[in-house]
Amino acid sequence: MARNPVILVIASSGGHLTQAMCATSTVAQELVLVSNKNMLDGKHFARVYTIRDTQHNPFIHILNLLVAVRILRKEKPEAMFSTGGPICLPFALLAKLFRVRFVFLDTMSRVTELSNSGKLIKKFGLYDSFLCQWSSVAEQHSGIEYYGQAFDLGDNGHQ
Amino acid sequence: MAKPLILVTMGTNDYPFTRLQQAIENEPLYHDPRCEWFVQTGASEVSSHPACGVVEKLIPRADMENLVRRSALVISHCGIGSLNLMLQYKKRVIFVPRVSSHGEFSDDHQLQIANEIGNRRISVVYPDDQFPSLNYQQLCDEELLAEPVDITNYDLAQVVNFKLTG
Repeated sequence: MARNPVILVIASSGGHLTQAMCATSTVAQELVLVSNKNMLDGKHFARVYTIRDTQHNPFIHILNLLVAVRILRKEKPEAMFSTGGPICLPFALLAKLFRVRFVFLDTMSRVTELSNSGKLIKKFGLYDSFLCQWSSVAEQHSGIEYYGQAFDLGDNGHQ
Repeated sequence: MAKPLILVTMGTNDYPFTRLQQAIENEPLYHDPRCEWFVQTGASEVSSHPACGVVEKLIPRADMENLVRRSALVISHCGIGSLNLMLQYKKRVIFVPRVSSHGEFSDDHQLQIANEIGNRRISVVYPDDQFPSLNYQQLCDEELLAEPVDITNYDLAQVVNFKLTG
């Protein structure tokens, strides 16, 4: 399949999205977002697709799988990136099927163990690269890499 | 002089946060017209409006950033999105982690992240703690940062870029 110079970013609204925006801040390709709400009006993403949240009904994943196929057919991304939450699962599965590179960054908010989505993606090997944001979590698993948090939690930040 | 703005944010998730809603409504400055409030409630409802201010369920990210920039104090659930904005603007923050025992989230990960925040401007109110009383003069004296500080971890971003495209 011919691919477009597009990176598809899948991230739920709120913290997952914030982390995804930090982590993709040096990507030169066009970034296209899939999220559960569209509260963005910035320039980070060229386009935004909204899909339904699965928090209260896991069967939505099946519906989202169909929507994900449509998005992938349209965008033909060269790679996908996600920071979770569970809305990323159909995309991780399709990345495997369609052989699109999938990079997963487990959320900063899980300090002591992987997120539930992270656990599933790890268990079924639905990734090409798996990063997490706490060394104590990385140490619990083989094949998970740690390069610090998506943003600085300390007092100063860069000036 | 402009009124000091107190921003309350409960995040975008579907769980109510009644404890925080009650804490702010019990705060005397909530009923004091010298202060301006903006309360983003998410899945919660307030029972009374502030003497001066606005209550909204959800607002666009850019609006939230503007409010953070203007605020003298932020009172927030312990979400990562909120935390990022508060750190960028070096805000004085009162963080109130959501806990599962009060039906405020499905787990206690907000408590875990609260334990990791080593930042002098941020205080954490744990479930058994008394909510701190707010001081009007301290709010008026708070210095506001016009531009955000860049707190992105570019080392991680470079790794992600390489993994995606390298």
